[in-house]
Amino acid sequence: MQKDPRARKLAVRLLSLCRDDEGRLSPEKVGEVLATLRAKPPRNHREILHYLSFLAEREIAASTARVTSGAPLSAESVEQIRSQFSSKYGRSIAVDSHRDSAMIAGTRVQVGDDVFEISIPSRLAAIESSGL
Amino acid sequence: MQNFDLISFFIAAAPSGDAGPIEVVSKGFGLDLPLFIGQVLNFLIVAALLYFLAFRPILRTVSERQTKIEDGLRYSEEMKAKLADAEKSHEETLRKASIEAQDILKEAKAQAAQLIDSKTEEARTKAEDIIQRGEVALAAERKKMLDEVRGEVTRLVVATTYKVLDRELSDSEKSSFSDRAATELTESLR
Repeated sequence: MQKDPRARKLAVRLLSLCRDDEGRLSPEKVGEVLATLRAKPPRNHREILHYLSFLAEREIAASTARVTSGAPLSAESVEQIRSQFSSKYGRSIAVDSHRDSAMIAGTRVQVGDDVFEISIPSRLAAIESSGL
Repeated sequence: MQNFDLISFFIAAAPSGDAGPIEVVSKGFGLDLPLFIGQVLNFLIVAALLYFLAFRPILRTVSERQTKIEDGLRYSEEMKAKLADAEKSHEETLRKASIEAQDILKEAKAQAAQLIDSKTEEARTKAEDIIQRGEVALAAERKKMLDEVRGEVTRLVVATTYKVLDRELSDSEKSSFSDRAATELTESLR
């Protein structure tokens, strides 16, 4: 990706327009911004869109807890994860739950680049790395 | 017989009147003075001739021989002294050489002993170093082997545990464990 400070700056401004009153990305706002760009595309619109996509993905990842578990979690556990991680990061964190049968049992929570995991594979990996 | 002749001679030679004793003796002995003087002269001449022609050369020859003999004896004495000195010097030289040889031998023995000690110490040090390195290498190899065995056992245990847990845990147990894990995760954030 070529570095264009003006395109990056414009992408940051467009991203701020995509937030709702609570500061979260709103699909409606994103649609409006994209429609405006489509109607009057700027000269470097490809680069601006690329930056905007990158920033949006990063923000979504930072505000979403990707929860992977070996078995379906209870609603209480999901709510607990959402509230505690929102409290930890100081912003509203959405929970995106998935099931991975290879995990057998346990839970892994990924928020951005941070990963928290308590599971059978992680415990077994710890045992294996410590050499019993 | 001779005693009778002497008695008769002295009786005859006894003074008998006016004749002197020399005359009497000369008459008694039948001495003819001129002849006697002539004989004395002859004797002296013969004695002189014998002295100058025979005795002196003989004496000179004897003297020369004696001188030669004395020189020879002196030379012999000198040679004996020189020989004694040479023997003494030789003995001294031999004694010094013997002492020097003993010193050299003693020093060589000391050096040889020192060299043997140093070489022995060096060999001992090398041997200990080799043994120590061997022990270290053996220990490292043993540790590596044990680590490999331990790793392999761990891997097998973990794989077996994983399969057993996957097969033996029920869905409810898996859900319970997952919920408990979620609780622990959230509690760890506090």
